[in-house]
Amino acid sequence: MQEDSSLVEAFRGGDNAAFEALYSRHVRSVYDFVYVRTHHRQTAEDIVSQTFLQALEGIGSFDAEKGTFAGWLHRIARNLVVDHFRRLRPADSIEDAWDLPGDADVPVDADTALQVGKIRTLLKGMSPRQRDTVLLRLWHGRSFAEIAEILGTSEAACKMTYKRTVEKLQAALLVLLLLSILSPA
Amino acid sequence: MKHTVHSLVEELLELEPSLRGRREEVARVVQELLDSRMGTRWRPAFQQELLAVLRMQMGVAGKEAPHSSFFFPIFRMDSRFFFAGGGAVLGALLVFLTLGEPWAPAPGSPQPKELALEETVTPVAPHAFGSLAAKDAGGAGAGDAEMRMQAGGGGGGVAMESMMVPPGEYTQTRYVFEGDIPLPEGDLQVYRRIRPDANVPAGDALRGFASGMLDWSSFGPLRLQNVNVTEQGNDAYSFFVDYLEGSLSVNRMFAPESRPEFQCKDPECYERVRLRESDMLSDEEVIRIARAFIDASGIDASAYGEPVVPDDWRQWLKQSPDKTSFYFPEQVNVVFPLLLDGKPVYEEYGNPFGLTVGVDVRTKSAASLYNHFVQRYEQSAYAPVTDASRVRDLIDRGGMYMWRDPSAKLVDAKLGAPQEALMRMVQWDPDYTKNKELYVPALVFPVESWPEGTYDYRKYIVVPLADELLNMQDGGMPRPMPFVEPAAEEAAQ
Repeated sequence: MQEDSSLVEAFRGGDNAAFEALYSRHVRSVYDFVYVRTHHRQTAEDIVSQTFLQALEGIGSFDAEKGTFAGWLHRIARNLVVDHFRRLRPADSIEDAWDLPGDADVPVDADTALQVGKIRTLLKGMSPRQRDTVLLRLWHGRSFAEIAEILGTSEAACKMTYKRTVEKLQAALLVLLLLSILSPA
Repeated sequence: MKHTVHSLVEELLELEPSLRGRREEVARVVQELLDSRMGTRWRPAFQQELLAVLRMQMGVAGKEAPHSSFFFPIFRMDSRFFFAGGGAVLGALLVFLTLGEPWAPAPGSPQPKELALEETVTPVAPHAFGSLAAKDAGGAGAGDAEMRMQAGGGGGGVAMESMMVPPGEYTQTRYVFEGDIPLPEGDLQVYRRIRPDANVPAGDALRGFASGMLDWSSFGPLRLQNVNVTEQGNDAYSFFVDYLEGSLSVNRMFAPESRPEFQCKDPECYERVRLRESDMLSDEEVIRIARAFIDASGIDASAYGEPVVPDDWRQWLKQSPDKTSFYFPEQVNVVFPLLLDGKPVYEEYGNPFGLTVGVDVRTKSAASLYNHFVQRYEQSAYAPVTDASRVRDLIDRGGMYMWRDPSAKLVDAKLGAPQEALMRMVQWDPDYTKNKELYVPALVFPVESWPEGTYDYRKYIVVPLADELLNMQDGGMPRPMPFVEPAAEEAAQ
């Protein structure tokens, strides 16, 4: 299988199929990444579309020596997610759907809202950076190097954020466990 | 890359050895988070839909096209209607968007041609267009469509002139010019319009269009031939761009409620709402409306001359025996004659040819525009006529394809001094892409007076000056309708 960087070069050389291969390889992961942060399919599809169109237009700016194509792509997507929520809720300065207040007039998929209710308690108290780090590692399976690229930070900082967030989650989980024991069924 | 709980826990413990004493708690957290991973409602069709968009983008704008920002306003995050509507809506709009950048080539494609409107003439070898008097040269059929478009009330003048039988006797018009016939000196320069056949790459990009409906990759290279786009709303303008012909035409799609005749269900209603003479606009008014439309549309009319109004309907009204039931045309045309090499262009039958704007009488607005096309020509030398008497013979008959019935009574129409012009003629081919559209040097004579008692209303007589064309003595004009002959035979019996 061709490396992403080789496909990028092939596309720059005029091979459209190379970009299509990159697209096929990454579209699902970008979509999942965006959906987890928007909780709304149509919004996610819009943002993913924008992501790949921006990637197509800006392919000349991708530098394989500075990072991976996947990381570059996800960073574009993350920036678009942040822009989306800042435009929707400029006063709240939120970066993704996790920080939406309960009464927010922002479309979210109903079944997803039910699903995240369980873990929202776990994740809500975190900063977007902490949340992104943990979810990118555990849900999206990204390496720390890729996470660093997506979040625009260093690999060491990512690892530090990750372990501290897990510790924090551990404490929160303990509280939840206690609450579930103490509350009547 | 998927990880097991074990590997993730080991990784954490390596990052923070102090957590080793709480291995089980850490594992519980990791497991909880993994179990809580939310479904993302992935829609497989979305992947193909977006791929179609990307293929269009790659096909239209190229990899580093600055104009690909065309698409971004459409794909703003609050503009979701594309994917809500599926690929069809998306494909349709993107086809429309390609109009904004139609000349951007797909990578590897030949460069599309510039479709500039300014006139370009390329000299080629003498007699390069073949015989001007080819067997399939357009005769009565070639110009008929244009002839009929003029007069709302009447039909094609050629057929009418020979077939209308005035009460009492059969007459034909003899066109009389008493002055000198100026003959050309040296070879004639005949023009042939070149179809640009723009290599519009949207055809390649359309491989992604409606991918769920058809596997475009099963077919050969595609290219865009024409596009039809329409404004939104009532009484909208609809535009037809022909990339093969290099032409643009416009038609207004009037809503039924804008047209009283559309509401009619019986003859009395039609009679009540039809136009009357008092509704008709002056020539000055229709020209003003036509000019305003051209100016507002940003159409470059520099290739065309001063407008004329073919008001044949006025002649028909004058000659109509029953003026109360005369049909007044809903639309009156304004023709801006094409100027080629500085000379005006006329059809074979004598009508000016050029950018035509149809003015709707009821709404006093432009309702159509056609004959607006790319001005690209080749020029080739042909032998001119050298015998003035042959020209007079053609003048006498009224130009090309006019048949003289020896039994007809001749009535004279007087002609004024001629002007140098070009006669447009089309040699038709079953493969329409091989039609030849030729412009032949000619003389055009204005009709200064018409004979009484005929249905003749022609304003100009056009006579080509190419020797080959004047050799066509019997140029294909059909004989009068059969019903004339049986009557003559009966009388003879």
